[in-house]
Amino acid sequence: MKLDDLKRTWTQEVEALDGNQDLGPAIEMLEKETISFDKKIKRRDFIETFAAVICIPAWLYGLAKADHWMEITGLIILLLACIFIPVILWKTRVTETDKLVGIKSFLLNEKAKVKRQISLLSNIVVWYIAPIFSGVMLLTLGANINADGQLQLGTHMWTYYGFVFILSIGIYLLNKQGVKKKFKPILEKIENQLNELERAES
Amino acid sequence: MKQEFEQVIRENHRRIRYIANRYAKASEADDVYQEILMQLWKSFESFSGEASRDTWLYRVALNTAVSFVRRTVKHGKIKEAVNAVSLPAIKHSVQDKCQAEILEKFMNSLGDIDANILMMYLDGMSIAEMAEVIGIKPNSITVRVKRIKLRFEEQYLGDE
Repeated sequence: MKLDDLKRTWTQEVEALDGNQDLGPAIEMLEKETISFDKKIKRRDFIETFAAVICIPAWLYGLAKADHWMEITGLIILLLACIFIPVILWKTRVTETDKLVGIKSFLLNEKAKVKRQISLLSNIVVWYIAPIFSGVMLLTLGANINADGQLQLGTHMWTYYGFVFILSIGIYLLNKQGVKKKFKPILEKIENQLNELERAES
Repeated sequence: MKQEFEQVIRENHRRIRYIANRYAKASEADDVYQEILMQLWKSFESFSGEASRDTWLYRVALNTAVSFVRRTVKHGKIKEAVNAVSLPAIKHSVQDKCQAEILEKFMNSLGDIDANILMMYLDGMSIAEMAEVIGIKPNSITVRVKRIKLRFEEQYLGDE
């Protein structure tokens, strides 16, 4: 048997549906769901940005009222974080890669996208945890300094700092895990496919 | 446009299923299939006929199937509508059944890129079209096809 003998077998395997099959409802549903899905994505992007931007007036108001340098520094850090975090997320968000290109270009685009995600998650301490944590710490510490310049922290504030610290560690570990369990294996798969393509070209 | 798209799906239903089944685990094949349909629908409007319809279909279907960062939203309603379309069973003669098994076995023994090339080859696509879909030089495709043929003949030559 030769490979060309299988052409007929393949044609049988992928033969067209007969004309009696009504695909109309499936296509209608496809159209509706595509529109609805695109709306969901737009709404998600809007909410992510809105959640950060909505804090900006609050920090500006705080800046106008703050009088201790720690409070002011904390508020400035938080303000900058609320501006830059959405920008960073926007730049690295998971967007659809053009599917009308050849597989090789598609894989290269996917690889770049996954690498951006890995870099984003690996550096979360720098662009997310450190600014938020230090901003919140400075703001609350500054707000708890009395007129004599002495820090007065009650038990509830220590509990609060403990909570924020544990939360920060948790976010860091979750993201580290995400890189290791999700994105590194994906990158490996993409590289394997690209290697297979390179072998095909050699 | 809908009627035209319906015709495309009618002609390629099994082909898309085949691609989805190859790239996804059994539990995810339906989702990949729906995702391919959705991507085909989205790009159908922009499909201007610059490429052949086969080239467009293979590019979108294969690129969607190899997408590694999958969307998390499941299209439950599409699933219901699509599953309502029953697939008539393929009536194989004993010899055809045997050849279908050989084809499946051989396809499974190949890497993804070679399997894609083989699918397109069996579909009668030209070397240039295959090169366009895969994104490598036509010469490389020619070499690949030769190697696939050779490998097949080494394994099955003489088998009936």
